[in-house]
Amino acid sequence: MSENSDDKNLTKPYSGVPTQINLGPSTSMDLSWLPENERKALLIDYTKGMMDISQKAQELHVDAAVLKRTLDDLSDTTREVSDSGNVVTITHSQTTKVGRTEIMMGNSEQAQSGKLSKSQTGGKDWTPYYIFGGILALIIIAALMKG
Amino acid sequence: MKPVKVYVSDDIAVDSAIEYLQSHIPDDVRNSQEYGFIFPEIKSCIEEFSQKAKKLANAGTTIHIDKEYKVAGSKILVVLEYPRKKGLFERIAGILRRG
Repeated sequence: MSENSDDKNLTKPYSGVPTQINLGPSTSMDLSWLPENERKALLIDYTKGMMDISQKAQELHVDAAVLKRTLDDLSDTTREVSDSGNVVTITHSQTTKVGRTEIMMGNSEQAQSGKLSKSQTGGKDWTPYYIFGGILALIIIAALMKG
Repeated sequence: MKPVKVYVSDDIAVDSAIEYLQSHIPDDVRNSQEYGFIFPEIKSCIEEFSQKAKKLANAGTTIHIDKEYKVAGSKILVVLEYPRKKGLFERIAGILRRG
């Protein structure tokens, strides 16, 4: 059944290499003017592109399903902790091929700010390096002024 | 490259947020093959998650979601925030009103 629907997108001549690609429901591209070897190369590229797209679509569906489940789990936990009268902040960050996701929820002041710290996002926190650099610069300036 | 950003909160209608996003996506992204299946996913992300976030916010939980999508070399960022965070001016105005 699915093989039949795939075949509809390609018009096959006697040589076996299709001469037409259906780009959409009402758009098609005529390739009959191209030599067979060039047509073959073009169709290989087209097929590769279609495979990349369907792979990305699959990844996107998985990403969306995971996010939905994560959100449900996090909201259940937040609700339980809140109901027991405690303060809670839950953060979640994830990077996939599809893109990046950051979630912060809870009933605390930090959750209200909605900002994830560097360690929560998985990024490097450069603050200690800046402080150390500043101190080092002050020492050098002080040494130069004395000298 | 700066991402195309859409902000959704309790004072913004979901439909108008989706419309805003559609109008701000560059033409080259909109004409790409990926866009055809990624945009419906972004739309359902905005619709579904805003509903969930709204329910959580009504129950007293603050929720902030940043969801980034990579489409045809560009980035689309969906920011869902429930309840909406008050800005500095709004907080000052609130204090003055109470005072």
